[in-house]
Amino acid sequence: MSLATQLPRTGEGNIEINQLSYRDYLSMDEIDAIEHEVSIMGKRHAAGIEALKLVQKNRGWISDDSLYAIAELLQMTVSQLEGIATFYNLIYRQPVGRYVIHVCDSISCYLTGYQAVSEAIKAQLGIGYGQTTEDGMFTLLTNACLGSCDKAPAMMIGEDHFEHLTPQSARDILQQLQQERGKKPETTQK
Amino acid sequence: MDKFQPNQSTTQSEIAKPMEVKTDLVTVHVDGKAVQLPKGENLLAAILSKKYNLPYFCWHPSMGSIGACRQCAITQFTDETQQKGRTIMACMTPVVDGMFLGLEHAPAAEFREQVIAAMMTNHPHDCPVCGEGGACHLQDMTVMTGHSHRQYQGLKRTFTNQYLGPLVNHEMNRCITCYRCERFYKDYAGGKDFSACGSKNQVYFGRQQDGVLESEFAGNLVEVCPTGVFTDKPFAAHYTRKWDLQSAPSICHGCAVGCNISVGERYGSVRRVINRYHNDINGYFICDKGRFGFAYVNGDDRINKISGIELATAFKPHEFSIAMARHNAKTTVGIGSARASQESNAALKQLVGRENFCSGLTELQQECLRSCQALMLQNRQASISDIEQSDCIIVLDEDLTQTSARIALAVRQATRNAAFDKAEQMGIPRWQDDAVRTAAQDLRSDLYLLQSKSCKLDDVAAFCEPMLPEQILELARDISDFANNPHPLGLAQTRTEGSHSESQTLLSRIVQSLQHAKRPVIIAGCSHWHLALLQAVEKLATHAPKNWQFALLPDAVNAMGLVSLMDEHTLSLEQLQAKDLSSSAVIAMENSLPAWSSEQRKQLAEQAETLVVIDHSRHQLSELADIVLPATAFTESDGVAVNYQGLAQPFFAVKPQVKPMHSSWQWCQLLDDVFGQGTLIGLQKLSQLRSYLTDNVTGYPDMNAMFAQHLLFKSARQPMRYSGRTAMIANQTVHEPKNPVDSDSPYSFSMEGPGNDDGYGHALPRSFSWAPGWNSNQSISKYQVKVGGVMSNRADMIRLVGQSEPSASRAQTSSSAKRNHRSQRILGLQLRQLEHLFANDEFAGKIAEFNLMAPPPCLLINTDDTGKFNQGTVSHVRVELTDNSSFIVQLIPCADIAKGVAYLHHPRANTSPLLDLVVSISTVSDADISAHQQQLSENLEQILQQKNRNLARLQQTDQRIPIQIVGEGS
Ligand code: SF4
Ligand code: SF4
Ligand code: FES
Ligand code: FES
Repeated sequence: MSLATQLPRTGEGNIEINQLSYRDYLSMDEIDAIEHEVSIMGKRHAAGIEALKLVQKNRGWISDDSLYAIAELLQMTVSQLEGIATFYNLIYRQPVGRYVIHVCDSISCYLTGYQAVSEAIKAQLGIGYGQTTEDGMFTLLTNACLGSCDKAPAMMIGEDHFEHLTPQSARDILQQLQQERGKKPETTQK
Repeated sequence: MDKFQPNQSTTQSEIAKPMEVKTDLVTVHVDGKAVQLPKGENLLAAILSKKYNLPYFCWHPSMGSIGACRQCAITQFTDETQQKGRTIMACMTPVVDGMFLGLEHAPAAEFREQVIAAMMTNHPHDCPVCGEGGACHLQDMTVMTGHSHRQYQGLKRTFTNQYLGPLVNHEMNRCITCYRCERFYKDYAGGKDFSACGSKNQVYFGRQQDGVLESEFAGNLVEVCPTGVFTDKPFAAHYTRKWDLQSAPSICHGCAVGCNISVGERYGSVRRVINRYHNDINGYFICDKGRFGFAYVNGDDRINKISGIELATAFKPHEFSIAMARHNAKTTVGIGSARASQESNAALKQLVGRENFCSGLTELQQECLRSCQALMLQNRQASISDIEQSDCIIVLDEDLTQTSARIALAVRQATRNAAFDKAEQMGIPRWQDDAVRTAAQDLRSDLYLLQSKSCKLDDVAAFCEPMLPEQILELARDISDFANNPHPLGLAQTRTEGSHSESQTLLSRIVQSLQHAKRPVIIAGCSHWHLALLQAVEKLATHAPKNWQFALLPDAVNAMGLVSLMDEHTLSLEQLQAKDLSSSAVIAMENSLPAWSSEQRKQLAEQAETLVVIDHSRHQLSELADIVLPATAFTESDGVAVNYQGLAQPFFAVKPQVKPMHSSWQWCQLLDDVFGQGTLIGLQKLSQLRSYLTDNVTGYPDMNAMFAQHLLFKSARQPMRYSGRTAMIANQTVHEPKNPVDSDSPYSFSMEGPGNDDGYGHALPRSFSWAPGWNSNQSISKYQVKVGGVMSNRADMIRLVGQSEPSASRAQTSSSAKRNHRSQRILGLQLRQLEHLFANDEFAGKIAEFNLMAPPPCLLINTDDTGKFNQGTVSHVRVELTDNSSFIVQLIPCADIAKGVAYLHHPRANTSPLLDLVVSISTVSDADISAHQQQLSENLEQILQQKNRNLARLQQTDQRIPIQIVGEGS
């Protein structure tokens, strides 16, 4: 970022001028992987989505610091990258649980019993949409169509799809995952 | 002597605009009626141009169509039976011969109504507390579609708003997701800190996090957003509904571009400034200096009393003359001003006589302005729309984004012309905004920024590497040589090989671009008073091909007017200083002499027998003066300002004068009795003065015809719904006040008079824009011949152009300008003044919001030059001045500044020639730095207090009336 065009402003009080580099934040592996994507894309900023996915895979979610570092590495504005990061619902801008559950609330699922499934999940986990269970295991989100309309209602947990859901089958799936609670959850929070 | 024959010509350039593709008219049937529409234009624009009411949100005349809001739906019938058809988006459909369209057709009308219904699912029930209320495009469109019942009963989405700085408010819940803000801020104005975030029902427009909007054009969001998401923050803090504002057409006094603005007033204080459409100058957009930079007129520093003479309370001209007679001197010298109106300057010159008229400028400034004038007289100064249509622009040593910001916005648009050409080849209409951008990718027309510090146009420039001012000058001269003797292979070969190979490559690149360009524009300005450079451009113009245009930009609103009043007798500041003033009265009119040091000003006050200051705001000179006469600011005066192109544009008072304040020309007229030759006596009316000046003062343009036409109609400054006219002061007196009479302007201080609907005041600029059903500024399309085109009530314009011989006075004084550049050498660095939109004149310092936006005192240097300061270990340095004073500045090393150049910013630069005063730069102790930082925090605290005090004072004056209106505050 250019300093001569981004001067501090009096209204912001005393200004410390320090320029943090992405190198201080991203690992060498992350930088290499992102540069690899850049080499495929041609334009640096075109690698934005892939870079977000890569960093999220390592760190579980995209913190502000991750966002700034990636933007700097890709020579794009933070705003531009934020636009991308918040557009895609599989990029998480808040810490999430070990299992992120995306329940489809779009039209086919809605017609085939989404509401009952949804209620069952919420009751089972004790959280609402946009929330994470206290043990850091589950985050519950909606998703507008998972491409499983012919097998609706559907949900996605991590990378696995679950189809033809009923309240009972949804509860069973969650219970099974909850069994693992005994194991120490790898918390993804930084 | 330079005697100009002011040509009466219209603002439209006589040269056909190549970019305006000649369009054939074809017949289209709208609701069964045959109308002629331009082929290929988008239907929405074409239909609006025919003055139909068709609702829209996302389309904008300057930004084109994207089809995001689905509001402009109409039916396209399959055939003339008009029975079957499909719903189309008017803004996304080109006009085709023989179309049958249904605007009123029920399915389309219902669709439009239901689009509003969908927006209302999230739009809050906010109108009473919304700054947009009463002038809201969403309200207007809602009514227009007939959606009059809230259908949705569920919960609404809510957002958290952001702090976006002291100028713009954010209330995201009001958003209807039309994307106009993002398209303006990012795509049109090149802002980097704004984006659309999220998706679906959660689309959010704003910054990545809270913080000041960085763009110089952020204020336009207030007008671009069709709802109340972005509102004018200072206006909101002291709010009035649009229908309660008294308005007047005016001209921005922020720089020499002359953007047209509309000023709004209530209860004696000026509330806001908005854009006033002008097709050839500002179009739909002004910069933030123009929008918010008026605030000093409401400030604490206003001079509102006569001081130095004793007068009875009520001002009486006769008593005034008697009191002044005691101060008569043998001669009277008058100092004019580039920020005063042409009438005031001409009247002053007439008052004191041409031998005693001082321009108030240094010789260096005079000469720089004369270069600008030379191009103006040759009619080669490009208008903003000319610049927007250029296919190759070279900017020489001027940071346009900080000095003449509106021009920078035009330059940015010009870089898109290559994209438009490509789109045309591909058959994409230019209004298909997204398609054009996608087709273009990074394709841009050539923009060369020859500058010594990076600027906010770098992202669209073909070249922007910082270089030394001398190198810029050399390149300008080389380009000039080339224009004189065009060499098909460029200059690189004609020169000796070696030393400057880099700059030679650049030169041949530039030269090649120029050769291929159809409409190149070369731009420079006066921010560094780089005379040699301006003269090089002037010379370049004399032998450049006719299709080359220029923009040499002066620094002040009426600089070109002032220069046109200068003749061979006109005194420079140097000549004034050399003059024996011991038996002279000196009248300094609207000039605080910022080109002089405080020492020089003190000398003037001591030497002059009597020093009379006429001004609207306090400064050092007014403190030193024997007599101070309070002048009206531009918001309370009528006058004319001449912009960089030589357009003489009138501005009008928005509120009546409060005596004893008078316009400066009135003071000149009042003083003539005692100090002058009596020629101005009896010319109390502006129209009388104007005819007199036309006949007697060279350089005062003949505007009689224009004003006579204006004065035939009196139009209203107040909207028809203006409230409280008879009750405003009922808490003081129950008698209905008489409307103040305004004999000087074609506007009345009342609701009476035509002018707010078309057909009457056809020669008048509009005081505000309103049309039935269209309460927001988007009503302007009802008064344009076609949307985005010329105004149907366009006033004739006077231009000071037509004569190109260099004046005699010029040859004589040119040699006396000893310096050709305002800069200073120190520590082997070339010290220059930092340009900053919110900190580059004396009035910026009087506006709290601008003080918050300005940088702290600082010195910008190249990172490699840090070694010059104690091996690069220091964060602050002390700048010492000739008068033994000093101040501390923060050292800011940047990569994007030429090595060997340093930019200094300190508020003192606005009131003195700071660079001339610097003697050395020294180190500071840590204790000094913390004291400095302590001081800065205290200053900040004071600015905030001043802001609150000022607001409280203005609200206090509102208490004259019993009604209290509360807007959303900050
Ligand atoms: S903030 Fe205003 S301009 Fe931007 S999308 Fe929303 S309504 Fe449109
Ligand atoms: S560009 Fe100049 S004239 Fe136009 S609004 Fe800005 S300061 Fe005013
Ligand atoms: S609607 Fe649920 S998967 Fe498509
Ligand atoms: S104006 Fe046509 S879709 Fe928005």
